[in-house]
Amino acid sequence: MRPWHEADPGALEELRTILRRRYPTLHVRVDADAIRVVGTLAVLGEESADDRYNISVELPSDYPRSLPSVWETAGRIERIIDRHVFPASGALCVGVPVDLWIRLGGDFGIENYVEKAVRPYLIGNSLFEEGQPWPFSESAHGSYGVLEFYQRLLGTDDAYVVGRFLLALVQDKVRGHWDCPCGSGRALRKCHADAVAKLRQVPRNMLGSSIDHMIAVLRAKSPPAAPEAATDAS
Amino acid sequence: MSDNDYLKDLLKSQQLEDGCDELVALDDERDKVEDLLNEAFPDSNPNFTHGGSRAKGTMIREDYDLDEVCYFDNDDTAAGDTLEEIYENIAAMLEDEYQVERKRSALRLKSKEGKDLKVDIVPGRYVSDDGTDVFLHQNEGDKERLKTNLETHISHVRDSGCTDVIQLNKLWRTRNGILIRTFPLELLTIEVLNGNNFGTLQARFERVLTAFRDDIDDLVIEDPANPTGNDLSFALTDELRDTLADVARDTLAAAADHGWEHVFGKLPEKAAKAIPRVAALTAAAVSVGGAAPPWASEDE
Repeated sequence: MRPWHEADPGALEELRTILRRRYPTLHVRVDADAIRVVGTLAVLGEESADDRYNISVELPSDYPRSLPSVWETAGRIERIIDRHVFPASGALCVGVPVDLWIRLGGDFGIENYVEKAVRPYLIGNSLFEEGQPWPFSESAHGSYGVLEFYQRLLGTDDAYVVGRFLLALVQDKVRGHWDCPCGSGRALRKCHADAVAKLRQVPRNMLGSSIDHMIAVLRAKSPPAAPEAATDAS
Repeated sequence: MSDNDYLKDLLKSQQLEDGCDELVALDDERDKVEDLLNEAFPDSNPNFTHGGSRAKGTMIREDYDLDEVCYFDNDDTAAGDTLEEIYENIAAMLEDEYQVERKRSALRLKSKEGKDLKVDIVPGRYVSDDGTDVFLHQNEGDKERLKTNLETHISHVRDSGCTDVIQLNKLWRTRNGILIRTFPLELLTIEVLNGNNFGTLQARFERVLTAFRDDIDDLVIEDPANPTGNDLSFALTDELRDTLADVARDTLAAAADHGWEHVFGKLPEKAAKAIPRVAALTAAAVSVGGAAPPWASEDE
């Protein structure tokens, strides 16, 4: 598939126009491997120098349909998992991907992404630097953080039940008369219809990744397998 | 307010007045370093004085640090026989009190807890007994030794007639996250305005950005203290030239479309600066509404 900026020759200029209008200190940088938006973002407005972050947003090849990645580039945020930074890449983890997909409605255009994902994260980081709690709470690390998202959405912290929802959702069709995967015995349309409607919008590969996380949680919770009984040779 | 008046007021808001908290903190660290030097090298009398933007009159509130040169006499070997020894011995001496980051010729001081104190110490040695040229150790690059002259640098910038545009350019660099060092940015600004330094602050600033946008590849910078011996190409790479041109193009277009206040934002006097930072951040969080809690994973 051709990258977004090659498929639509006017798209780059459109992005530049958005930046000039909305974020005059962020700029398009055309690198060999990706298009990036780099510069600084003032989370409290231009007059507050203390809350200006140097960032680099890497846009995906199918921009604006997939999640971008964002880095803080001036060394202000320590690159450790407890600061909600992916240790391997150094990218900021602004939220569980499925959660972000639903909150942003699958629109990862630069304004939506900055305003609904990056800015809240950076405001939270600034408060954290001041000794305050993160204003939008924090997710647990790894698969448990993904489970926490589904707990908020589906009202269950049972990874097995969440897995049943996810397996139903990756089918070609989901029928309202099916038994709800939560196990209530009620029809889906009369039980978790709203939550399922939200999740139906999410790309299947993202739901598939969530299934992997639920499997990881279930494996972590399973007791270790008992050693095989020794054969009585006598 | 006209764009020119806005830019002039913006510069005023960036001034660091004598006695302000930022300068007092810098001077306290400076005095502490001087005491450490006197204690470590009691028989020496190095010239320990301001260099950088403090001496040039180009400091700005949003991006400031203190460069302190520490030049030993030509025949003084108390801190070391070679330039590298001087550099390393001073670094080792400072490491009792600070975290020391070894930069190209300077030593950046951080507190033991890692807080950047915004102080650079630049060790060196006078070339001769009667001149002001110095040799600096170079921690990077092809040459281990650099001949330069602080007084020439200071006067070149301070007396250029364009310190105001240099300050605006520094703010522009900082606000846009451009990784150009201060000295090459100063030299570029002076080069563009050389013979063209007329008109309003806005006109001169726009002239510099226009040159960055249209003629960046033709601009040449050289160390006024050592034009042939100090290769500054490392400080103005092709990639950096491209970045300067791109950002200048965006900035000029944004200013033309929306005015300079749109580019640099409201002046602090107009802002609700009395609100404590935590309260302002909390209000900002509330205004955002809901957001995804931050997450992280070892595997992603």
